[in-house]
Formats: sequence, structure tokens, C-alpha cells
Amino acid sequence: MKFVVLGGYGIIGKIVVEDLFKTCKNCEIIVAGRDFAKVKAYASSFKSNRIKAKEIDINNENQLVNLIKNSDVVVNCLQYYFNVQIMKSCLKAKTNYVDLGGLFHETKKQLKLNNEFKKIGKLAIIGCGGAPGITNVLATYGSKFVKKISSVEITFADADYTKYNQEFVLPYSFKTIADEFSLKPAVFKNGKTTFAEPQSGRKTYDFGSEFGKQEGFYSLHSEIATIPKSVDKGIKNCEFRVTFPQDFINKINVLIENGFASKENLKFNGKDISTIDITSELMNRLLPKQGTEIDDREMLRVIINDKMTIDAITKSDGKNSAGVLDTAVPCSIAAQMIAKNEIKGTGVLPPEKAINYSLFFKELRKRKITIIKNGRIIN
Amino acid sequence: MKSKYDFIVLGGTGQQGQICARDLIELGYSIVLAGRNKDAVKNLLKNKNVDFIYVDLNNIDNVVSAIKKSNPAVVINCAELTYNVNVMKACLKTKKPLTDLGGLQKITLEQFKLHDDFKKAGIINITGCGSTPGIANIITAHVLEKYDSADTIELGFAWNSNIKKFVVPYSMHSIFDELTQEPVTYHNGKFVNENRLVCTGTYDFKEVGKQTTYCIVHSEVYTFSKYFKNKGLKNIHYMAGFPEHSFNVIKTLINLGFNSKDPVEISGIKIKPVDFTDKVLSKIKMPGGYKEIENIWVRVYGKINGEDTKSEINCIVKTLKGWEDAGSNIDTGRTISIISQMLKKGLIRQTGVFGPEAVVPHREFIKELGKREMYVYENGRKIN
Repeated sequence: MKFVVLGGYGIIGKIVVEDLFKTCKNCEIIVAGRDFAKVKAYASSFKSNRIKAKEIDINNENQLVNLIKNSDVVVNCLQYYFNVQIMKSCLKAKTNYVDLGGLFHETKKQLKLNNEFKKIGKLAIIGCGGAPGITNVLATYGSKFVKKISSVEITFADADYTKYNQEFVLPYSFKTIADEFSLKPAVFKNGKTTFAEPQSGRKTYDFGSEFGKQEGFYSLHSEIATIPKSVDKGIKNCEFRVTFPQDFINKINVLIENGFASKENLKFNGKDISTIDITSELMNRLLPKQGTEIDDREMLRVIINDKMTIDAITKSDGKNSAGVLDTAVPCSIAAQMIAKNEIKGTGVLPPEKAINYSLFFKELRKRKITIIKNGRIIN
Repeated sequence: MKSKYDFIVLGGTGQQGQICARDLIELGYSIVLAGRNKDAVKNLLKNKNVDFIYVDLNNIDNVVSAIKKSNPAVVINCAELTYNVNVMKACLKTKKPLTDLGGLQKITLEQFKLHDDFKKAGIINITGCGSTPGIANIITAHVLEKYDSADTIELGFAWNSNIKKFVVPYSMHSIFDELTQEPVTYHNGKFVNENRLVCTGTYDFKEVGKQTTYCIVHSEVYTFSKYFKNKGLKNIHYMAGFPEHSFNVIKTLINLGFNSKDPVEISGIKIKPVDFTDKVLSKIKMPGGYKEIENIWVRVYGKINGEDTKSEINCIVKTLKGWEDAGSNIDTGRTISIISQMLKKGLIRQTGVFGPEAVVPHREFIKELGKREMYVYENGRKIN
């Protein structure tokens, strides 16, 4: 079996490669990325001929098609802006495809390629990380236990015990955070998809135990694009909320409200650079420093009919945060399921439609991610 | 270009430079605006008494040639404080008197080292001619005149706005410097570095209301200790007060490192985070109906006729009709205009380097403030 991991030396890509390498003993993995030196360095760190490095310019279609031809699954770990473009190359190369999600709008466009994937008899699973990804499967799993569904709420919480050597920590890329804070969130309300004001829908969830109470607000996420259709059963409301500590919210808002997330160009030495690119560069310096011993837990939570809770809890492994692990691992699991023919469907499907949950939960458990229904571990 | 002008305004395309220029133009003076961005002053240049000259303040020869070309009675420096010494050197070469907006502690000390050179050249540099330093220094001199002795002076500024939205209060470079450099106070006759946290307090300010203030580094601490020594002065505390909504933004930017002066390479270009921050914030527009109010305050503790006496003097500045875009910044740009005019009129005759409290005739000055609706209150009683 052969996998191509695009963005294979990125934060998530790296872990996908590692998981594929560890759990798929005879598989071949191609680590592809823009910067050959970085790809090469990462690929060769495995000291195995099963892992190869390839330089790739995503905008060069021929190069991309040639690279992915004859592979079983393409795993796309790049920023979501390239999803449709890469799927089109998969159609040409006739390969299966997995990605980390398209932040609702891109997801909608991706779903439109369903027939074309069906025609070539291949499968694309879109939004197969933690949230979206695990959350989608939790939602369909939970929906089995009730006759009628009025609401599905999706959220997550973090408990961080890391001793950081810095005053402020950015949990993940600034651009993603700026999107979550400033794009109009999709909300499925009374059977209809609507768009709310950014950061509206404030609600405090009690996540229990070490996660405690945390306030969340609506955020644009791809779950809303697929879950209402997938679970059906008369579903009326489906909402996604992000949670952050209040102080973090205040700081990000200071940047957004004062123009630091603007796409407007600024001139430096006669060269135009977009404001958000510079802010992003400055903020990404505040990501956890390399070598920091990360010690955190993440809970992904789905609440059905305001009653039933289904959680996925991930613990950091020292090097990687729980949020990185629970995003990367499902991608590797799904790619292997496709390659091993454990999934029958073709077309473009969200994870909850494509993946057998019990097999999926078992695989998660192997990687120390526990699934808990109403407080009881079920995997 | 004419062969002679009343004033050249360096940093004339910046906010304070433009405010100062407008004050002078409205009184009929001829001026040259010197700076880099001619576009910023398109409107001012429509006036026949106003011309523009390009100047790079990093280059002293360039400044010298701009001064020579405009041949002004007084050089007014409204640029960032980092250029103060360069401008002084250019004035020494051209033998032109100079006013500027002050240099916090460090640069002020550098500036005073040139005292003898200025004296020899027969010219003056009055440094710190804005609101504070500036108004604060002169109203202090005014109050102190009545005192036989004074052991403690507390002073600073507090301000607020009717709409709680962040608007750049004054030079972001200065604000970041003030809030990140360790504050210096004069305590028991010695300069000491103070922990900012030890040095906070909440006070009720006339017109502004309750506000938390922080000790910051400021040039008054140094100049007061020098000029008011004869009053037996032992303690000087300088305190800055920002409204919560503004302070939160500044604090956050500092916390995230957006005030850093260490260049970061982005798309092959080296950018200082602080310059980037300044550019982004300069695009913020005042919301419609936005009004500011500032209180420059001084409290003096000492003896008058042998009796313990506490005095408070305030200068209250509000957003002025017709000057809405300038907010309460009018108290900086218009003050340097007043003092520069006094120099030109021969009301100040000393030579050397001085703080305004040592040379500016305070009664006339306070009267001029009043003409501009900047009102001074001595122990609650309006005196202009």
C-alpha cells in the first residue's frame, strides 16, 4: 500500500506520517512538501526505505498528478484553501483522498465532486481530523440511541498542564484562529442553515472533571455542512462552539478589532505585504517553543438532545499536544481503512457516512484516545 | 520657496507637526513643513504661506540644508524623540534656536550634554514643549513661585474618551517606551528605579473621573530635580493614566511582542514589529462623535509662609470644535507653537539647553493656553 502525505512536514502532516509508519507495517509513504530540504530532513529521520521525500508545487497540476498516480490514498494536510484543487488532481490520477476539513464553505464545494469520484470508483473522505472528524462520528454514533433528534451540539475543551517558558501561548496557527474569531459562523437552526454574527451564541459548558466550566461561542466549522443530513431523525438544531480562556479571547479580539487581521497590503521597503501575513508571522512565534514538554488533554464533546454526552479524550504524548494528535490520527486511520478496503463506499463522503464507528473507535483506543458515552468508556 | 520663513517644522507631516503648523498658519506665520510624506499635508499646502521640503532626519547634513534653505527664525522639531540629538546638531551648525517635544529620560540627558555648545553658539534649545513635558512643567513653575519650600511633587496625565474605542492616544513609539522602560522616580533626593506595580494608584481626576495610574519614566523627573533644587525638593513621581479600554490594547500589544524593536524577516524583508504595529494602528479612524478629555495635573506638597500647604494645578483639555481629528493632542502641537512664537518674539532670551519651566514666562504662557480653550485651574479655581 502506498500513501502520499501532502504537507508531510507540517505540524499535522508529521504526525500523520509517523502514525502511518508505525501502524501500517508494510506500507510505503511519500512525504511531499514545498521545501525539499525540510521534507528530506523529516523523511530521512525515519531511516527507512519505506519513507521517501518528494518536492511538490501544489499549483503545478502535472507534477502533482504524476506524484500521486499509482498511490492508494492521498492524505492532504495542507491549509484547507487547496482542498478542491487537490481533489481535482486526484480525479485525474484516479486515487482516493482524505483531508482535515474545509471550514464549511470549502466543504460545500468539495461535496459537489461526489459524482465524479463515484464515476472513477474512488472515495474521498473529507474533514477527517478531530473536529471535524472524530466529532462527526461521535454524532452519528450517539444518534443511534434516540428516536428523534432535536439538537446536536459540538464543542471541545482543553486542560493544559504544560510548564511553558513563555507568558502567552498560541495553541495553533494564527490564521485559523483569526478565521474562527471573525468569519460568520454557520448554525443549523430550526431545520435551516443560517449564518450568525462572529463570536455570538455564547454558552458556558460544564465539561466536568479536570476540564471544568468553559465559555464557548459559535464558529464556522464543517460539521454543520454534513451532520444535519447524516444523522437526520428530524434534526432541528446543530451548533459548533469553540472554547477558549477569556483572557485569550480578549487578546485575539484586540488584534482583530484594531486591524491586525486585515488582508490590506502594507508597504515595507517598497514591497506590498498583507497585514495578516505579518501578524501571523509575529503571532506564530508564540506557538509552544520546540522542545517544550507538552502536557495537556483535549476533550471533543457532542451533546445530543441536550442530554446525552459523547466525548473523545486525548492526552498529549510529551512532544505533541492532544489537539495535534487527535487531528492527525483519524486521518491516518481513515487512509488505512480505505487502502485495506475496509470501506465500501465511493464518492465524496464526510467521515460519519464513510466510516464504521466501532472499527474507528477501536483504532482510536489503540492510540490511547478514549470514547466516553454519558461518562462511561465504550472503546 | 521664499528666501525666509518664520518657522520650519521638522516632522511636519506627522500628527503633532500638523497640529503645530495649523496653529501657526491661523496666526498668519509663514512656515516650511519638513518631512517625508508630502501627501499627508496636501491640505495645509494649499495655504500660500506654507511650503514643503523633503528631509531625512537620519542625515544631519540633510537637516542642515533644509534649515539653510528655509532660513527660519526658529526650528520646531515635532518628530519622534530619537531624532532630537540629530536636530540639535543641525541647529548648532546653522545657529538657529530650537524647540522640541522632549526626550523621555535617556535622550533628555543626552540633550543636556549639549548645553555649553548651545550657549557658545548663542542659541537656545527648549526641550519638552508639548503637553507633558511642556504645560506640566510651566504650570508647576507657576505654582512653585508661591512656595518657600516644597519637598514633594506628583504629576502626570489622565484622559478618557466618550466612546470606548481604541484610538492612538499619541506616538505609539513613545507609549511603548514609557510603559516598558523601568520607571524612574526621585525619592529622598535620589533617582531610583521603581517597580511599576508598587507605584500604582487610583485617583479621581477632575473632569476625567476615577483612573488607575502607573509610574513611568518621564523627563520632568529629571528637569524638576535640576531646576527646583532651591526649593528643597526631595520627591518627584510621574504617573500616567490611561482609560481601561485604551490601556488594555496597549498592554496586549506589549504582551504579544508587537512593540519589539528586533527586526523579523518576512517575505525577505526585515520588519521591526513596532513599525508594523504603528502602521496598522495609524489606519484606525476616530469614530463619529468621538471626543477626548485630558487632565494634566500637578500636586505640590510644601510650605507657604511656614505652613504645610498642598496645591493642585490642572490643565483641562477637551476635543475642540474644528479640531476634532486631533482629539486632546492639541495640547502638544499647539503648545510647541506657543513657545516657538515666544522665542521668535524675543520673550525668551537665555542661551543653552533648558526645560520650559526654566525659561518660559508662565503668566503669558497660561494666558495663551486660555485663548486656545485649554483651561488651567489652580486649586479648583480657573486662572485663564
